Amino acid sequence: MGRANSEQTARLTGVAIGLLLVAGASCGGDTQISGRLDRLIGDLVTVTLESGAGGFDDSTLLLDSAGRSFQTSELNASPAGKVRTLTIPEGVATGAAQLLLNAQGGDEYRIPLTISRLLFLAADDGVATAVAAPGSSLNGGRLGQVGTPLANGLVVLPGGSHLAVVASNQLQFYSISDGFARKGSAIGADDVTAIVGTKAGVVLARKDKVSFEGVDGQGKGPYTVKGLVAVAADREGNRALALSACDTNNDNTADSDCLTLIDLSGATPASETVLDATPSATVVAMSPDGATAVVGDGSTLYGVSFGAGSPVVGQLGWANAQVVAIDATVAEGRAIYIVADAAGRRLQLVGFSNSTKLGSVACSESTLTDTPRAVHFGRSPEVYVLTDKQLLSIAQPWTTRTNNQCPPIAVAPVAGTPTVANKFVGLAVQR
Amino acid sequence: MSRTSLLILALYASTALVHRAAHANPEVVVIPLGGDDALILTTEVAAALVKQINKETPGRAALRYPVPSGGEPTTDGMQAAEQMQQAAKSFESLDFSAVQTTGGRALELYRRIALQTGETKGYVDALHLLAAASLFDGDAPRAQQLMNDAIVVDHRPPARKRFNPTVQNLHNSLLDDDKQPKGRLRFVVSPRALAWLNGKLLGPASGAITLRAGLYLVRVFRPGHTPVRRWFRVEPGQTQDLQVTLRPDPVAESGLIRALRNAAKQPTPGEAVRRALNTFDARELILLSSESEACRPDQCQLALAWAKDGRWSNRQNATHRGVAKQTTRTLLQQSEQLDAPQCATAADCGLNLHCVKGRCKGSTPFYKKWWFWTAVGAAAIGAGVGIGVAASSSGGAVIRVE
Repeated sequence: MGRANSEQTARLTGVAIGLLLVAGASCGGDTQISGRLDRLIGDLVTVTLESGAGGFDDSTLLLDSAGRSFQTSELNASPAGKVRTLTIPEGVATGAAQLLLNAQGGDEYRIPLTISRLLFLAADDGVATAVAAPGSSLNGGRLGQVGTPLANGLVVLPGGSHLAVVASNQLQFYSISDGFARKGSAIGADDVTAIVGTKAGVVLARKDKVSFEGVDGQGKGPYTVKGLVAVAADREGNRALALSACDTNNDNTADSDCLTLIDLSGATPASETVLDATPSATVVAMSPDGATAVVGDGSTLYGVSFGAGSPVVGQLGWANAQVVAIDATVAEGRAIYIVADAAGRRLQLVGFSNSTKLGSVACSESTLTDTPRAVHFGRSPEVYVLTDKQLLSIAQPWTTRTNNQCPPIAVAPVAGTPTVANKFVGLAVQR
Repeated sequence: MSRTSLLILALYASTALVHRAAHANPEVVVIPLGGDDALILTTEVAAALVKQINKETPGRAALRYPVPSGGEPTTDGMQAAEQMQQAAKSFESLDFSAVQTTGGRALELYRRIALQTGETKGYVDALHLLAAASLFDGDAPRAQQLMNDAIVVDHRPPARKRFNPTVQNLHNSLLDDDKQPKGRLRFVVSPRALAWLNGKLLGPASGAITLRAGLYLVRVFRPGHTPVRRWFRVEPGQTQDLQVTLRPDPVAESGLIRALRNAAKQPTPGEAVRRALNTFDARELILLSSESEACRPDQCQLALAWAKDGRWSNRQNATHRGVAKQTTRTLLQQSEQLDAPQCATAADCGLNLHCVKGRCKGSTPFYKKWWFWTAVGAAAIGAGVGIGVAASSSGGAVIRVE
């Protein structure tokens, strides 16, 4: 019994003293942090331990102002060592953030960062402007003359580090985090009618052709789609979806709206789906995972889901609408689409209730004072709307029904939007 | 319905629930067999036995006890199924408010059925449907609460045939118990009894436990008393009392328990043990009985019977003196000794074994030696001093961000 007590005492005393000393040691010393702490979405951040024992261990954590945490893998962070590189990913909230790194010895370093995101506008006179998204501390400003811009010919690539612009029949990539430096040479873009961003480049719709142009200069395609109207793609750039006015009875006259799913790797042949018997659809968007798509055709929305078998098509009416723009994102784990109606100056969210049904998200219809030209999701679920003269933001594009009523959705102009001589023609958003 | 039928129904219901609650079937099932107060005590020791066995091989053993029935089901399952069917149709046609109405009715009926029979499949299905409808109707908080309630009872995902990846993602995002808000449930139960949570035997209904927030199906039972079943919502960050006063009732305990109590005294395990092994889908069965009903918490004679491969592989007695862990150790140590070879010297024993009083015994592990922990203490002091000196000499880190 006596020996048991002394064993217990030795165990507790030894461990307690050790822990106290370790705790004391880990609190010692002030950390000096310097450098560029105001950062943009998509920025490559390099953290160097210039003085201090050991290096950083493998873990990296970013806590944003909304309380969300981003782990090592989401930050694409480098492994243990004196230097840690990481990328500020999409989805980080604007405002104060903390980067948490651990020393190999056990100390934790907290590096305060301020995160901003930018919105890019192109006017019909060719002037491109960056506007800081609400909550950002960095300012935007005039970027310069890009040439004669294609309507909706401006896109931020998923990841947020590159901007692609189609203007004066040329495609040019810009590095956002590198002071908007041109990335590579301009690529000829004659006859381009639509552009969509993917992680590594853009998918272009040209006259009856779909092609991929990578930031690294590598291209794919072209893939022929007769009667091509618009194009969409998934985030990773694995598949593109071409909307066309197609000829189903081989009489050389377009008679239907068709969708052609294109495997950009070329591994599987393209497959065509006929939507209806009138060639009138104008706009298409695809979910980031490429599993679903929504097509705008006047006052009809088609919802298409791509599973193992044939694509399943559903539809949804929107009375008196003229759908002009659609964008997709993932909110609370589901793909949702924001759809803009130019005729009624309305917006609404739609989604898939199961693998086949397209439905409106309850309490998501909002009415604008001006006609929407482009609509984009920002950091999910924020929405930005471009009209001829204004840039508007919607922080929460749906409301929760109370007493069987849908409270109105708040729409506000984005502060810092420049005045435009004639009209805006393009919008791109860092998510 | 006869009493026997009721007991069989109860057995089936509890078994079904046990199967769903467990993520994998255990190899060894431990069943406490004490009656009256002795049931509480044997359950405490049985729980300690499970803990001890799982310490060696995690997940190998589990505590089980069939829940007696609370009475004949009165809620119409057909009616619930009809409401559910209507709700599913409304869901397909995107009429989410109709889903909430009919699905809500189905949920209420299934909740009653779960109370009466322990059957929770319909209840969980209804929660999945209502959660999906709320999600698509833009009411994310309600969708999360409904899906959370479903996960609390059953981790299985919503049917892939009916629900798209959005709903599956909602389910996945809530699956990890560690990341969900927690609350505490405090049992205020008189007289002492056993508690089940969602069909899984928790042990004696006493003290407080920390659980992920959500709605739980709680059962409380003590032999000779009417079982109590109740839905109880554990709120995040709160400690709430579950007050139960059991009413005396001559309702018998499970027929299986009576048969096992008798089997534990027989020279071979017999039919009841085989039935229990089938019921609980286990390979080995440990029965823990008290020698008499008049057990005191600090003095009770316990008997362990371990059935394996159609025979009693171990049968041991121990006097419980209030410390379950100690009693367990005695029961298991004695069990090991039975298999130990006889010896005269250490040379008769295997590697790393000593001969103690004619039996081969393993040496005390090094981590149970007094000198080991003294060394740990000294090492910790050394490490602490070392790190302290290193940190103070470095003068703080300098970090540059580019």
